[in-house]
Amino acid sequence: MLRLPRPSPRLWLMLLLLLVGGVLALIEQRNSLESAIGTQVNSGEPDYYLDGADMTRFDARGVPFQDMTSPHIEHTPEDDVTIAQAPKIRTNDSEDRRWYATGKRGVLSAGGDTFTLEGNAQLRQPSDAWTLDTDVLNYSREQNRAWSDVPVVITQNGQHIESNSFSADLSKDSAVLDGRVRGTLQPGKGKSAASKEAERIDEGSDATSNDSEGRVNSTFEAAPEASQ
Amino acid sequence: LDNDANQPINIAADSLSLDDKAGTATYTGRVEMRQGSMKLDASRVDISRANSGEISLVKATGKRAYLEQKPTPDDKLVKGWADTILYHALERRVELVGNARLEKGDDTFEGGYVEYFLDKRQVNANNSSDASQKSDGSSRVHMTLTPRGANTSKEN
Repeated sequence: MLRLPRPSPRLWLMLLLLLVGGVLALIEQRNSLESAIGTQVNSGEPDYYLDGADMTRFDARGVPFQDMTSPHIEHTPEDDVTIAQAPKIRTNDSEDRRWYATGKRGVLSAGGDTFTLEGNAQLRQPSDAWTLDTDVLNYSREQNRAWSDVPVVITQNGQHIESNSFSADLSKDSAVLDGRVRGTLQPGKGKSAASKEAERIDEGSDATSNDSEGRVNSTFEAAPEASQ
Repeated sequence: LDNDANQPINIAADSLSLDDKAGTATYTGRVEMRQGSMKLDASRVDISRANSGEISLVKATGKRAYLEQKPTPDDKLVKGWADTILYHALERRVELVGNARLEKGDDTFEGGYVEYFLDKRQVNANNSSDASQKSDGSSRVHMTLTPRGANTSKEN
């Protein structure tokens, strides 16, 4: 089944770690910004925000391996919550496979433990033609767990599994889908034409992609000058 | 049917546990599995895949698990019950283990263990399974074979 479902929960949930890491990097930047601003903030107002944020993270060799763009990120000191609007994440995993994560909002809770991708949350891994769709996907670093209390659909190569809720324990590399589990499995599914097609499309869409303001965003294309 | 093995498998259950290290998927709670004319109902189904990604073994357990399949469009359903049903997908072979009963056309096989080859439509039955006690305490194999043509004489 979905090769039940490949790849392993730990791999695709590790993406959330990278996502959290991405946002957390903003938090560290905040510290320097905050001291710069130092003004009294009214309740509910952000103490800092970023428009047209485009973050790239580099590995030890200086190669970019993760990008996150968001038209607007803000942090509200009152509840210590950081919210990224329409985050778009592109990242490579340890097996150099490309992943995409999107959602209407990415919310990092107070203290930075729990991260939630809300609103058409989707994780996508083209080379295995693997996709997870839900409306809310939560991740807790402390519990090393990801879960969704709303319906989830996992698809791969024309197979799919859906359920009312889902929980994955990253330390045990296991996941449970609970409540009205429905699935269609292919008896024997190697790398189908569908996944090759999906991969071809994705390589094409990397070159240019429209962001919400209709700007052609080739952020993923150019490797940013090492500003950090 | 002959092309059952190539059909998609539809499955429904209350819950699904995935263990990526073991490479298994365990469905629990009113599990219903359909593939072409084959139907499997159980309280738990464990699915394992071969390295190639193909489904290799389906293990169904229940009070009792039930399997049915239509050999050809003209044949009667083959029905099987057992505490454990092992469907070896790649070999197209079914093992009914413990409290086993197989109805094939007008013939019936009961015992601790019944093995059925889906494509050859061959049945092996023995009482080797330790849970081979039949309700009447005997642990022998019971077969009821209806002579071919017996039905037609009754109908004339």
